[in-house]
Amino acid sequence: MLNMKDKAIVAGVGRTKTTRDRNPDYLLHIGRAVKAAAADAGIACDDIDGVMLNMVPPAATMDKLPEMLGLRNIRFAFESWMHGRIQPTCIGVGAWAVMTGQADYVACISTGQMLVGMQQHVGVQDDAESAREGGGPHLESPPYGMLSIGAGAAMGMQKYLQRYGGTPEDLGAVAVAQRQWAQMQPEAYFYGRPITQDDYVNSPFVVEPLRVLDHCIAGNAAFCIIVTRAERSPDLPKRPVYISGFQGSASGSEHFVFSRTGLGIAHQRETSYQAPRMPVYQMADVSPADIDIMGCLDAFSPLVLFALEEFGFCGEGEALAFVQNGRTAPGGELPVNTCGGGLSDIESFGWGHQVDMVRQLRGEAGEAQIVNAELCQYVSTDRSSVILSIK
Amino acid sequence: MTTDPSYRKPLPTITSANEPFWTAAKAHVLKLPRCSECGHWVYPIAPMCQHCWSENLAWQALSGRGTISSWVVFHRAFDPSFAADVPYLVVEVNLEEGMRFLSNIVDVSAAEIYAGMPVEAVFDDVTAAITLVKFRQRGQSMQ
Repeated sequence: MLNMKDKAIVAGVGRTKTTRDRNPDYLLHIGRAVKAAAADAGIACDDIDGVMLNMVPPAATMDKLPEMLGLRNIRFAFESWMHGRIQPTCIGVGAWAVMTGQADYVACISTGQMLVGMQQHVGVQDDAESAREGGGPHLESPPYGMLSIGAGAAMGMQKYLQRYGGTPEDLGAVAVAQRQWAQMQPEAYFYGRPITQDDYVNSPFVVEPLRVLDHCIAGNAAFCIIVTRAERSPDLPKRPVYISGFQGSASGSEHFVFSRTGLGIAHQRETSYQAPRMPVYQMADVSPADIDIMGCLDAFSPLVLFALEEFGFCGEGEALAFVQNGRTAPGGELPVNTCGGGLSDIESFGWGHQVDMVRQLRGEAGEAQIVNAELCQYVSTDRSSVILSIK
Repeated sequence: MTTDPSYRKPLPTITSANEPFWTAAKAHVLKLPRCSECGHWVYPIAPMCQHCWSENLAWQALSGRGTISSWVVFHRAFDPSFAADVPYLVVEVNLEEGMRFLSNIVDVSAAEIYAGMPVEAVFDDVTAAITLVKFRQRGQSMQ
C-alpha cells in the first residue's frame, strides 16, 4: 500500500474575511484567497500548476477559474461537489497529485457561497434529490414538510436524546464553546458577538430539538490550501505542515451524513457502536488521544457529538456529557473548531477549519493559539478526515 | 381525510420507479418492492435488490404497522404552504418489515409522542391524484 504519511505538505494557506452581502464577488474572494496562499507559500502565480476545486454548482468551474485568475500553467485540474465530506478528499487527491508528479503546487480552493448557492439547490421543494422515496441526502421529504437541511440533524439529535439521555439544552455547550473561539478570530463572522448558555436557551427552536444557534452561518468567504511535496520544504519561507493522515468519506446506508454509525437514522441499522481502528490513524500512526486540536464539520451542532463518537474521541452515547464544562472551549482539554467553525465563523465545509489548523500548527493563531499544538485532525461524521502535523 | 382542491403543499415527484408505490397509496395500501429471489424488501425503492442484486422484484403490501423511531418538530415553515401547521411533527417510523419510513403522524402532539409509540398507516387523499401515507397511534379506540 502506498504510504502517504508526511509525503506531502501544506505550503501555504489563505482565506478572506466572512461577509454576508447578498451579491458577493466570489471571484474576488477566490482571487484574494489564492493570492494570500501563494504569498504564504512564497511562490508566484506561475508556480501553481494544479487546481483542486470544491464548489457549489453552478460556480466558476475548473475551466473558467484558472483562466480568470491568470493561472497559465495548470496541468492537473479537478473539480468536486462542495461538501464537508469531500473536503478531505480534495486534500488527499492534491497530495496524491504532487506525490505522483501530476503537479508541483496544487491550489485546493473553495468558496462558501451558501447565501445564493446552496439555498437554491439543496433541501428545497424543486430539488429532485429531496423528492426521493426514503428521503433526500439530508433526509429531506417535501411532501411531509421535511424541508430544511438541518432537519436531518435534528432527527438524529432527537434519536440520540431518546437512546442516551440528556436534554436539548445540553447541546448548548457546543455552540457556546465555538462562539468563545470566534471571539479570538477576527475573520470569523461572529467575532465581537459572544453568547452565553442563557442566550442559547433563549434562542428559538427552528426544527426542535435544534435552535437557531445550532445552525451554521451561511456567508461568503474563500479558502485556498496549497499542497506540495515534502522535498520542497527547504524552499519554503514557513515551517511545513505535513499531511500525515487522510481518509475519504464512507458511504452507503450505514453512513448517513447527519448521524453516527449505528444511531439508527434514515436507513441505518440501530446498533451499538465502537469506533474501529481507522485508516487515517493507521496512516498517521496516532490515536484520538494524541490529537491536540479537532476540526469538525459543524453545519449543525449535533454533528460535533456524532463525530466525537464516530472517531472514538469518546464512547457511544458519551459525547453530550463529554462536551460539557468547557472541555472543547478555550482552556479545555480538547479544543474543537478553534476558528469558530460553521456555527460562529462561516459554513466553509471544512476549509476554514483546515486553514485554521495550519495556522495553529505554525503558531500563527494569535489569541486562539494552542501552545505546542503538534497534531490537528479534521473530521466529519461520514468518516472523512485529514490529520495535519508539524515536526 | 378528504381531497382539498386548495391543497398547495409540495407533492411527490412520480417516476417510473416509484409509480407503483403511489398507485398503491391511492388505493390505501402501503406497498414496496420485494425481492422474489431472497425476500429482501427493497427500500429505498431501487431497480435491483440491495441484498442479492436480483432484478426479479415484485410489489407487495406491508402490514402498515410500526413504531416511532424518532421525530422532529418544525417551528418554522420552510415552505409557505406549511405555515398554518406550525408547529408540526415529522416522524421516522420503524416498520414491522424492517425498513424506516419518514412521514407525518396525525392526531398526536409533540407533547404526546414518544420513542416506541405503536403506529399504523393512514392514507391522506390530499389531491385527486395523490394520497400520502401517514401514521396514527395504534391501539387507541377509534372514534
